[in-house]
Amino acid sequence: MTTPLIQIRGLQTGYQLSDQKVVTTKGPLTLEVQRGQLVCLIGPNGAGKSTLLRTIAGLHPPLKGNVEINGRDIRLLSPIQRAQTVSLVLTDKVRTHHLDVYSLVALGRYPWSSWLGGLSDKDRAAIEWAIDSAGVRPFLDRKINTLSDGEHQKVMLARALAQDTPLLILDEPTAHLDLPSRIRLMRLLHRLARQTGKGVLLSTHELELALQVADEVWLLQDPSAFYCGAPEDLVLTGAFEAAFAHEDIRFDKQTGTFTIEHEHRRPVVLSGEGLAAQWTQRALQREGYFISDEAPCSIRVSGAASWTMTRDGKSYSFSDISSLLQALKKTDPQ
Amino acid sequence: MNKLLIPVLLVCLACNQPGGKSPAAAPAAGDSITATSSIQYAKGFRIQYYGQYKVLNMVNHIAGQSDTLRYLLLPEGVTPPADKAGMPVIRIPVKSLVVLSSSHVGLADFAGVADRIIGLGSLQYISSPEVRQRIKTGAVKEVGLDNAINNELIVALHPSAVLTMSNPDITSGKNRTLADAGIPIMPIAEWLETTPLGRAEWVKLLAALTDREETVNKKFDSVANEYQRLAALGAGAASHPSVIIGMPYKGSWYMPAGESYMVRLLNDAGADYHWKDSKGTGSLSLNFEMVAPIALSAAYWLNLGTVESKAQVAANDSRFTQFAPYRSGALYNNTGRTNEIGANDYWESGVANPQLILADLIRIVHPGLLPKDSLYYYKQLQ
Amino acid sequence: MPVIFPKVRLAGLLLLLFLAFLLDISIGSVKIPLKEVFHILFASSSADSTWNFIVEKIRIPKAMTAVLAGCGLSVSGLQMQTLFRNPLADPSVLGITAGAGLGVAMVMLSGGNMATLFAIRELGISGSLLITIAACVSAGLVMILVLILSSRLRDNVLMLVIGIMIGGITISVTSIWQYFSSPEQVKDYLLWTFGSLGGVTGGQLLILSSVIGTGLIMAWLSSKMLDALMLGENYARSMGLNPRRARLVIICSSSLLAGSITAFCGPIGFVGIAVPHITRQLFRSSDHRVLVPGSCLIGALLLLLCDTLSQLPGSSTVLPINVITALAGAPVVIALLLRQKNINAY
Repeated sequence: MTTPLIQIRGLQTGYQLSDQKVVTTKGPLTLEVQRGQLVCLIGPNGAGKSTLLRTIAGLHPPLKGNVEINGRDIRLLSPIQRAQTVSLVLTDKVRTHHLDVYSLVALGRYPWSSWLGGLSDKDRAAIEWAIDSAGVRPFLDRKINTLSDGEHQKVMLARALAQDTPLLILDEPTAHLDLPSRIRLMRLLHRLARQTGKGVLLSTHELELALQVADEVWLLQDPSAFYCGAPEDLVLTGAFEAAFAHEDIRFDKQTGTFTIEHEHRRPVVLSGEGLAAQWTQRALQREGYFISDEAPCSIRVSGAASWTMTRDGKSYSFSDISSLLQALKKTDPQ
Repeated sequence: MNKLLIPVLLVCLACNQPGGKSPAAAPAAGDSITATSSIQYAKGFRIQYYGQYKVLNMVNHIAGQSDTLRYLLLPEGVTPPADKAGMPVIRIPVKSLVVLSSSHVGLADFAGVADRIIGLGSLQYISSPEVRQRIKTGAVKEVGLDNAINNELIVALHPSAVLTMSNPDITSGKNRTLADAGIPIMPIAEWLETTPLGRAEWVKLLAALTDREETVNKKFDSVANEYQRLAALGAGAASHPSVIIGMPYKGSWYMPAGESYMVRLLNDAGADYHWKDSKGTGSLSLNFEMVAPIALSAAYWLNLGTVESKAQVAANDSRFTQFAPYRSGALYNNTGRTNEIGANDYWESGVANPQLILADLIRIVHPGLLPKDSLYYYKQLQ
Repeated sequence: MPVIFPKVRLAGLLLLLFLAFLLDISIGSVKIPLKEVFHILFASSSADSTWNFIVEKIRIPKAMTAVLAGCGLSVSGLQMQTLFRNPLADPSVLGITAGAGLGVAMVMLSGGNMATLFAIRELGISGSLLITIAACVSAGLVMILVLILSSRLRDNVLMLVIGIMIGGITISVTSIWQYFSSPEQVKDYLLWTFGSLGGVTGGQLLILSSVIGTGLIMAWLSSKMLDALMLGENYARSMGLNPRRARLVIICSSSLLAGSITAFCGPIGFVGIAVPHITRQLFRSSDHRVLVPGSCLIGALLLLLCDTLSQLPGSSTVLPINVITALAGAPVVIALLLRQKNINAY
């Protein structure tokens, strides 16, 4: 059996505040991450995801238990050895003036470069590979304080890649990014894990994206509730539902998405099939309706772009959902 | 006439202050009525003698301007004359003094009244053996200097006067306490005089305070005569060797300005001083580069500060070893009479004995001109 | 683009530095012809032995002190700005320079105290030598205190606060002594605080050069650590930086530089905070292997020019160096910062 990339035993994380001990993960956790795996750590804000990640990365001492990477306890490694094993992408903002993208990426070679910081050919090759993998070549000459959030995130990823470690840990890498960038980043990480055999561990709020790319999900609901498994298993066992349970939201096991629970639910009859009917239902739900068999108002969707509303015997036709909803609001005000 | 005498006597008796002596009776101690002093050299004060009392005028410098402070020196039992009402009164002879500067200790010592000092600014640096003895027996208390002056202590001592170095602005908070307690504060600004004899002449002020004019005047006259005699010798000397003064700090060298008392001493000693024609009574702030050419070829180097040996001079700055006075060993410091606690008598008795300083200077720059060659205040650095 | 070591710019600065050096030694209160200055500089001889003395013993040591002080203060300021990631940090931020001032105050203001008298009588040192030694000793003690504290702290910001507190304490103690001192003593101390580049000669210059040289080499060798620290301590640690060792080396070298210069020349302000900014702008780089030598050269150049200005050619007085560095330097930095498009400096 191959040694797992990360082996966690009996871990309990937290920190010491003057006279008080704050436990962020009671555990005791026993976990593994294999090479080529992408693991997503998910949980509500303040549950302790950051502390757990930093403990695994060796930035923070655990309260109990230990973390081994490639079979070696991280606490026994020298700072350089640890840097050659784990690289990080954090939420810390780096806004140093006059630091250009190439130099920042090159800093990733810190644990490998000479004592004065000189770069060998191998170092330069690693940097070039990192630049291309993270896609930062287009803005290589720019100073980092002129980058957008998305570009900044990519540069920090490139730096971590340049560090060329078997394990890559990212703390909320998708925060501050727009939707396309988020998707692209998750896809990139998934591909990296598969193609390079690196282990990738990241924390995120992007449940829906995680469901698509994660090989394993670690769900940290609160310090004493920790679940791990394939994302699909966590859906089916209802773990996700329980973790994010809230009176205003509902986890839809069918679609794997969260839906907002609306108030003032009135019934409406809906008939029709296909995509248009699906989306009409969503629109109606947003307006505070639920689909029922009996209702004073009924709506029929025909084809892809035709809506008919029947109320008190009268029928009205609409060519888009927006006008349908406006009419609904007028006749059924609340 | 005889008929009138008794009523006049009675009236005079009635005019007596209660508990005091009658004005007709001559005061027992001192010779205040007959002896007077005339001030020849000092510019900072004048004394007017009016038979039963004296008026002391002192030039007082406040913030660049000067005005005159006047004190009425009145023997015990004498009422202040009507036309001098409002003038601060000091009862003489003064029985006790609080002195804040060691130079004033020197003046008091010369005047023979050092035993009247009951308070000193600092007990640390005193040369006078008499005062040191009184300190040992606890007859002299320490009252503090500058910002640390303890007014309560001074008031508790009840001195007849407090002698300070400068401006006794009684409206300022600190001094008001003393003024309110009826303790006169007198600025003894001998240090503002530009001639050595002018400085020394301030002993006559102390004499006036203590009714010792006759003795002090005699002493001062002999000092002045000796000084003039020596000055004539110095001026008439064949050569006038060049002299540099003081120790620079980093790049700045402070030299006495042409009108200061130090330069006067040098002129009287027959020494040549490069900046003798400069204006000012204080110091010139010169940069090392300007002094260096003079220092390289000067004949004598005087008043080097806290150094005790040639080695220390070199340690302060290795460039000094190239100066001519260093090479020839002509380094003379005015610390020859420093006692075991670090007090330098040059600044104490030296103030009242400029003739001794002048004699030293002449011996230094004109060896052999004077019969004895041993130095009093100065010593040669080895 | 990979970083190219800016050899041309550095060489250009070196040349400018040499010219500034020549200018500084040619100008002074005593008028000496340029030809003679060259003779003395290169052939060590001149017709007039006084001129020889002035150029060789007064002007050249002063110019060399300016170079050393300019190098040392700039690099010390650079290190402090990087370590604390604070564009306003300067060499005095750890309290070392205030510590030096404390030693000087002890000698000058409470002059009759035991330590001073002991030094004067038993050890035979006095005057400016005593002042320099006292400043070195007190700066050294503060440096040791700061190093001990830094090894216990995890956070750099706390170091900054401690440094400011130490500075505050020394200033308070000095103020107390000033309050109880005579006007002459206070004036002497005040003159010390104006800074002075003259008077460091012979053995003293040798000692200063060795200490500054050591500090500069240490700073340059820690370039890699400084580069990593720019990303913040978390990233730096994740890249393999040992934060304790890094802090030790950086604080040590910065303190050696700042402390020794303050001990020998008095506190010289402004150079440490301004030159790193000027250097970063000029070289458009954050690589400390470039910034350290760059700051050296620019700092030395700046201080030489300030020294030249302070000499007011022909006059017999010299303005204190601190006055010139502030008056000449501040507008330069303001202009530079305003020209930047991005106000988010550093």
